[in-house]
Amino acid sequence: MLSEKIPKRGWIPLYVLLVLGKIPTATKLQKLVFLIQTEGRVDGGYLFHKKHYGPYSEDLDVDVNAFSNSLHLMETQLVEGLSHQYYLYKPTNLGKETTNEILKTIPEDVKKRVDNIIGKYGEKNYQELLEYVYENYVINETTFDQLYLELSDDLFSLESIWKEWYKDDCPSTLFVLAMIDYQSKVLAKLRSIEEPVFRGVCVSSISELTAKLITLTSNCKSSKECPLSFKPLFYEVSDQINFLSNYCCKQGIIGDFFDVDFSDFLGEGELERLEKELAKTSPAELIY
Amino acid sequence: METSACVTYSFRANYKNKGKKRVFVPLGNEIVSEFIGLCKQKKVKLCVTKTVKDEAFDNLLKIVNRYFDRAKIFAPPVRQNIYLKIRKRLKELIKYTGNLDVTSNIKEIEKFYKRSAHLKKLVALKQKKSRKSLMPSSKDMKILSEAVELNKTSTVCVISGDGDFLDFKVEIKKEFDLIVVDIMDLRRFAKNLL
Repeated sequence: MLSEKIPKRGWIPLYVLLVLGKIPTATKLQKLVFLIQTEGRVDGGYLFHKKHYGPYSEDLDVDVNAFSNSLHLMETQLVEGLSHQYYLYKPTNLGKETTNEILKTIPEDVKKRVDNIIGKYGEKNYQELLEYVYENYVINETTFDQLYLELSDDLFSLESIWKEWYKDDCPSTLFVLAMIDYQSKVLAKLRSIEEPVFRGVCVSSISELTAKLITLTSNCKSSKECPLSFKPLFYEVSDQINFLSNYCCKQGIIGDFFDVDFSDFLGEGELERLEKELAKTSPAELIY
Repeated sequence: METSACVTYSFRANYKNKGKKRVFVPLGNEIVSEFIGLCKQKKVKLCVTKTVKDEAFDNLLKIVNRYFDRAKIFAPPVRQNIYLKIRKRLKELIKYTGNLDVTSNIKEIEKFYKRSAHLKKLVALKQKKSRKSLMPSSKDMKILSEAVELNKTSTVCVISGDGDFLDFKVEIKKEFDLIVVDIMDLRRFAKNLL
């Protein structure tokens, strides 16, 4: 089957093309795929770096060429514009059939998120998209320093509140505190990352996650209920940390949130203390 | 298997430090893991009741937290990582042992502990465990009553690390003909049994 020859990530450009019918300019296609992956929190997609026109993925470029020239899933037309030439992409009938086939394997919630992003940005022209992406996801050092301070303050306040609420038998408060700590560590690590797109994606993801955590905190504060009582919000938060964790892991910024490298959070002395404690105490002694 | 044996087995977690793989192994874990491995190999039936399963899951996070608090370390992402891995291991254990729902009589166990001859040991346990009640928890008594019930149809040995069982093992054997084995004695016990 043709769908089996297509790289897993390939469904993203093919699907956006299927929904919109045509996409003028390579820049628009690149930015739409970038936004779908970033704001739609789609894992396993393309790797974007900063280039002249903002985040750009060479892999996406290669795939588009293969989809057009070898696999005949899309048509690429060179169009004479008013001031310059541009590419116009359209799906072929084979492309439509193949995309529909691949879509059967995409989870509904992921597809829904992608549809939202296409609905939000699909009608914008390449210049509008370029400006938006540049402003939000290509973060220079000065802007980063300012955002770093703001986000660090938010995370510090959240940490103080949740530390106070922390109960030693409550996994959800531990989960929230772990997310806060993880984000602080990501922020610290970003200081040494030079790629502005990596910084942009992480900072945007942390801003969104922090905003959701602030809402969760105020809900818990006013209702005095457990975070798990706010299931939809709690799931959104889990989804967001998953995205941040996968992204950071893929870009080598920090390890997976669910399998952290302990040296990122513990000093050698602390680890030694913990190991000593384990070696001399049986868990059985601690069940009371 | 009593709760303390289940959690001692589950408390083992692989982790990374500076990219190198390491493993957390608390006291007693090797012994219980070895014993369970041997039981699997020799097809000796291991059993966990629903009460034990529930108590084990309820206590996992508390135990993780106690280790970290004793070492004076907060590090929530690390606590959470260890907790999730241990929880997974416990789930796997329960998948293997199953969890029996046993109807039992807790009254006879209460009567047993309330005997005046047992007072001295109970006072010592109360102090050691810093608990309010002199008596073992109702869950522990329920677990013992379940083991007594199961022992009526086949030979049962309770594997435990809990003083409420271990400190009374002679009396429990005499009263209910039920063997209680200390986690730390499992190697010797396995040699004789298997």
